Amino acid sequence: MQSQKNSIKKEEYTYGFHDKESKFGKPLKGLSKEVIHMISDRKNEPDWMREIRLRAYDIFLSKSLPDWGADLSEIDFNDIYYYIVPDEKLKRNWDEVPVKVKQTFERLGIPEAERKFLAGVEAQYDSESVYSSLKEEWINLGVIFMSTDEAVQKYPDIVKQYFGTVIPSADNKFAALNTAVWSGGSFVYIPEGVEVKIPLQAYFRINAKSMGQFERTLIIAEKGSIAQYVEGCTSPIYEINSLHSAVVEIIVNEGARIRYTTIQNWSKNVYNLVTKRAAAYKNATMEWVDANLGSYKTMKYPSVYLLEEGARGEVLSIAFATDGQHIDSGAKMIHAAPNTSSLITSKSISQGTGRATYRGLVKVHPVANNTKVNVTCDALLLDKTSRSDTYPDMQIDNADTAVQHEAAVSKVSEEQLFYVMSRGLKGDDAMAMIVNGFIEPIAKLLPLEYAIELNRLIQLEMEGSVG
Amino acid sequence: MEYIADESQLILHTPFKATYKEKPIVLFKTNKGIFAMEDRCSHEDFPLSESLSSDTEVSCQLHGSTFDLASGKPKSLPALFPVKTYQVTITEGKIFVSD
Repeated sequence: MQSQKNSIKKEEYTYGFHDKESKFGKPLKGLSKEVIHMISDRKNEPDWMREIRLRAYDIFLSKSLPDWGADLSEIDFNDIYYYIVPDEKLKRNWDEVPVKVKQTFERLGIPEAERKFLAGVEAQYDSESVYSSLKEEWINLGVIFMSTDEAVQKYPDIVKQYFGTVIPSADNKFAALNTAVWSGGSFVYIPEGVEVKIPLQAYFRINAKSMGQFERTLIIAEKGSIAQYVEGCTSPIYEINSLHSAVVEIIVNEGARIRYTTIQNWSKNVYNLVTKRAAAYKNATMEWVDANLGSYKTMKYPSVYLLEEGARGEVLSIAFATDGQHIDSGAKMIHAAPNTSSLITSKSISQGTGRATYRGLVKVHPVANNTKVNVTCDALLLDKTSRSDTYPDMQIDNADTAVQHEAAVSKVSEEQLFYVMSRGLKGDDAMAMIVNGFIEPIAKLLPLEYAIELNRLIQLEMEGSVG
Repeated sequence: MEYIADESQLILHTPFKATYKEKPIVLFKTNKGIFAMEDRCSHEDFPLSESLSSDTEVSCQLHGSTFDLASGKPKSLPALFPVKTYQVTITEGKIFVSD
């Protein structure tokens, strides 16, 4: 990949450190059938998965880059490591995790968080999961939470049944790329009627230079089940860009409820090109809570396909674009059954030369009688140079539909700042308070620890401390 | 019932474009028989005749939606609705299609 033009202050991004890479770890750069066979061999995969990968590789080659959204023309697919062989195998006990990896995650606060308030944790370091654990009380109820690689070996029938059915490899170029070279990610299965009351967390860390991370997550919520999944992402700062291209597929069966929360804080040399989609069945609820703070360029539009009567989808997203960043994010809601409802709340903040784009689609099919749609897009510009764009697309093919759409763009005025500062706050703190107030409707949906983390990250951005 | 083609014209898993009642259809010869369906993905109308089939299904080239060859039902998103399928009758090596 070419060098990134925007300068990055290494000392200022909290998670910008990196560990020494394994001398055994790197295969050749670039993508080929040989690399795909190597990945499949390493994982000792069944033939059906190898075939899925090889077909996806052909699809990847045949598809072009999107001609809309962020400019991706600088990506050199031949200058990326697609898979890094891990030094160690997956661990269940934190004490067994290699010291350098353990130190990384301890600096990020992962084991501490697990001990305090998580039901389970999965930690991915470059290509592979290094640690996976689920508390016994949930194992006893039949909950499965492990890396997707492990699930291919242990639960091949479930993986085969659902893999690629929500996001086929031909959906887009990056879904094809992920399908060809995926590694790691989470597999979550919540049995009928089980409510996992505390969050499951995955943490994704890119360490190596010119690295591509392609995790694959598959979540299946059986009838009447409830769970919350939280993912966090960080990476070191290099002069060369990295690529993160994940695929997340979620099946929310009758009456089930899933909340999928992301706090994306990649360093500002990462292309973040992710496809996330959920299928929601009768009276099911799917909620995406999506906070995008980091990355160089992001393209991500979590979507919900409302397939049966009474299904509900929500996307609540925050994008914060500072100097050099383009965060092109949004949501898609596809209403394909009667009495379905959706809510999209998007909050974007732009600072300096940062550009935040909301791009959304609401489609109401003729069969979707009595549908309710509510879309709110608010943009906050912090200065004269920042930019915000909004591209809402509403395709309503049913007259029995109630649609509300509000959009607002505002600037932080001198008057607002003066008012807050007159209460005793200094400039940066005053601005941070205004921004925190702006995102508060979404932050309040996060577990307390994550809400605090989000506010802290935003404060760092305000101070120019991140990137 | 309308004559469409000779069985010998079809190649295993390879689409055969044709018309039935003046509408485009596609035939697939597989190890499980010969199937006829509307030549149009129900997602974004892309021709299914651009795709190879397996024995039981065909995936649209444009976004990957997979359809059951016998029933036309979608087996994956983003397609939501079935593709129309037709009855196939073979008599003395000749393929006939009907509703």
